Amino acid sequence: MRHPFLIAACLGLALLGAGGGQAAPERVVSINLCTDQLALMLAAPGQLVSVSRLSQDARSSPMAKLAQSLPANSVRAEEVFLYNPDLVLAGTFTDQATLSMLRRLGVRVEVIAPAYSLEDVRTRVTQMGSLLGREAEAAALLAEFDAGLAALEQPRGERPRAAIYAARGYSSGPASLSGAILKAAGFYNVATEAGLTVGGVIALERLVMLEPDLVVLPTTWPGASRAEEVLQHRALKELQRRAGSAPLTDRDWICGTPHVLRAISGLAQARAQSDGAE
Amino acid sequence: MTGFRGLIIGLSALVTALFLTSLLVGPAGLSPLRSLNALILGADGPITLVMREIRLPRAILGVMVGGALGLAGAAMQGYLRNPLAEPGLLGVSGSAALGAVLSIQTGIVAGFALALPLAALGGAALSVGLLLLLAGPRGGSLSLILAGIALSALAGALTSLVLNLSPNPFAAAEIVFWMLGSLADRSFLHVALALPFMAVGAALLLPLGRGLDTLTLGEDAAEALGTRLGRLRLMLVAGVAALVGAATAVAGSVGFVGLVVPHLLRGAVGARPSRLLPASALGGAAMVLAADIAVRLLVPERDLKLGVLTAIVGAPLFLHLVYRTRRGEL
Amino acid sequence: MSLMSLDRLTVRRGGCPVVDAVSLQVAPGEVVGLIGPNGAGKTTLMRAALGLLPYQGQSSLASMPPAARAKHAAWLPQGREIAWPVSVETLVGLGRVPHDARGGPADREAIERALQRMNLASFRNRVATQLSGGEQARVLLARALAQETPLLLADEPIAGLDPAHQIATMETFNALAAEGRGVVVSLHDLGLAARFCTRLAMMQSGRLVAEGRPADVLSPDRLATVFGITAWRQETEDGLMLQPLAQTETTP
Repeated sequence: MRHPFLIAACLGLALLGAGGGQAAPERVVSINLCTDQLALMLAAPGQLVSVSRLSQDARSSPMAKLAQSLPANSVRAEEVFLYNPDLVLAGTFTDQATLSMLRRLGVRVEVIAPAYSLEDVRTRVTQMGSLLGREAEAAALLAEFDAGLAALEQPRGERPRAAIYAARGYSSGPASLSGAILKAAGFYNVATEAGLTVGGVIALERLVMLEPDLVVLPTTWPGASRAEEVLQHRALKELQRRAGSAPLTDRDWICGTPHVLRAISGLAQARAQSDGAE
Repeated sequence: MTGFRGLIIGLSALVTALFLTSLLVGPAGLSPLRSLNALILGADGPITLVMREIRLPRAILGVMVGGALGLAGAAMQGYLRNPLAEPGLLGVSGSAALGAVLSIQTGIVAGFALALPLAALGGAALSVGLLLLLAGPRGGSLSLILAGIALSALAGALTSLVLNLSPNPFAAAEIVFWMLGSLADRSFLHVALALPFMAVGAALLLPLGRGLDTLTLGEDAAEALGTRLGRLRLMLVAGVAALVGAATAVAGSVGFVGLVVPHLLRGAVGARPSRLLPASALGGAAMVLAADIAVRLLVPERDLKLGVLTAIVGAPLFLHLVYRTRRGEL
Repeated sequence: MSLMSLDRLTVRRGGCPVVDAVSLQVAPGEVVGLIGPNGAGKTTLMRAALGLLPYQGQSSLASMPPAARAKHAAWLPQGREIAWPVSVETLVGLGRVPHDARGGPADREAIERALQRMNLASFRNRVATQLSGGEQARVLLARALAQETPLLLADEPIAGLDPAHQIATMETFNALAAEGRGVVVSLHDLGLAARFCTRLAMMQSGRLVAEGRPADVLSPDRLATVFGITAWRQETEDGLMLQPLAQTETTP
């Protein structure tokens, strides 16, 4: 567990060699839910001046309380620019038009990719530490993360079959962060059998035929959508009755931050309970 | 008479065949024999669940939605005496979708499930009423289509507005479903929601056949033949609204079914509106079942929308009809 | 016994009476010709008599329930509307709708009689919308005949027909009258009106200005004041012969 940490740390530093040479930014605006959280964990007091509105919502953000202490932005170039930032943190899927506008205005913009594995989580932490000039804090956070992960290590042996099933029938494959969480909690991801890598749609009838022992289902959002109606389908309810089900709390699963530990431990508990029941 | 009976029997056989095919088509790739065995006798394991709770309601909804749209289209054309009248094109489905979306996004549906078809019915009734008002008694093509375009555009815009304002992150992307329709992942819940409304709608429209026949001669002659036009108009609006409302509430707006089917069958029933009603109901069921089978065979892993296929078939036909109407051949 | 009885029938459009207190009786065996210049209120009178328009006064037809009225009086509107490409036989069969019979022998016979009467037997399988205007007019009249009602109201049924079919149609009305039925027919051909109608009712500006034998109604005086024309008139054994000749100085 130590080596990957070192490698990742070095990798992160090497990647950001150019950035690392600069003085630590003083006014940082984050406009992506995941960079918001990493920045909130690592930034020096006063260094982070605004986060995206989404991270103030407890349904999507595990750090909503903390985020609410900062002014929120709506990810619009004009609004962000008025904060007079010397660094803007964005995600890969942030609107490109917003980013190029900010760059035209002379603002330094750094884009941080989403995490697809637990290794990616470590890389992002290191990357964020170096961008903010908070390398020591990043190393401490990583050590904490490693310890937590080690504590959650699952006994080897038969791995129950599990599927993650979300709105529109979207299922996460083994090469995704959710897949990594599932694996770390000791489950076999049946999406592999459906031929998924990162993820994709599994028709409900295929899911039923895959006969998972556990279905990990997200909690539905307010306001209702047809995309989520599949989660109320009678066939899925019946499947849940036969197999078990565990909740997918979006806020702990979305971003590659040390909060994924909570997702892993939640699932591990579900596994322990089902083992105990049998 | 025998020709008509033959047509009805033939169409029923087609619907039955497509219904069975619909049951046997799906991404899980189950063997037909095992599937039917599991469906009828029930077997241990997940296959029975797949057949009874996923494929059966989908196939039943295909019949219901298609039948409703075919019947509603034939009835509207009969009343307006215009082969271009169709619930989807004239914004009736769009207005039903708006009603449905409003009922969902205001949270009324969460407490009272029937609010969904009821709200869709309300939207549909409002638009049918408006159309009859705007298009006038004879349903002139131009005023009818222009009124329909305005209604569709308004309903579509308001639907997307409501979805955009939703707190749900998935809702905004759902305008596609409401505009093009799909039967994917529909369950018996939806069958139960739509069935009573569709039954009432069919019960209102099917007896209108004779009245619609007499309207072939114009309103005056029809009324003198004993047709009570006020009552007929009321039953038509209510029936179309119930059918289109219920269909849209569960499957989104599937366009062109009510246009293509009556057009294809008109010759076979000797252009008699009364005979076109049951024939179009069966034809509509066949068309939607076929489209729903096609979306699963063409791109099995994607939720291809039904309306995409029906529009590919229907839009050229519509343009052809517009052309013929312009030349005064209809 | 009267087939239709109108008592002070009045129809207002925007306050103005377009039919003004018209009283008229039609008995079996009569062919009543409704004449008058354009806008005199002939169509409105017939539609109101059938209850197709709001009216004041009394109409024996309009006060019947719709189903009973449809068995008593057939109505042939002026607009020759055929909305769908149905066969001639199907179209004529629409006249049987009020009789509630569903294609039984009585219906088939009635349709056959109507087709024969209008000399349309060879057209039965033709598509009605593909016929010429005159042929469509005959088909639509055959539809009204198939209704086999004691009374027939026809609004300009001979407009646009060739002379032979105009005469044939008027003769059909006479034949119906001879069977003890009644016909009310509006027409502009005063010659045919004089020749074939048993009685004429002349309207002007919504009022019934004259009623009676053709020879009495179509006096040179009234032709001048109501129609604004002069005409050649000759009383013969077959009744009045009339041929409009010229406009008078001041057309009313």
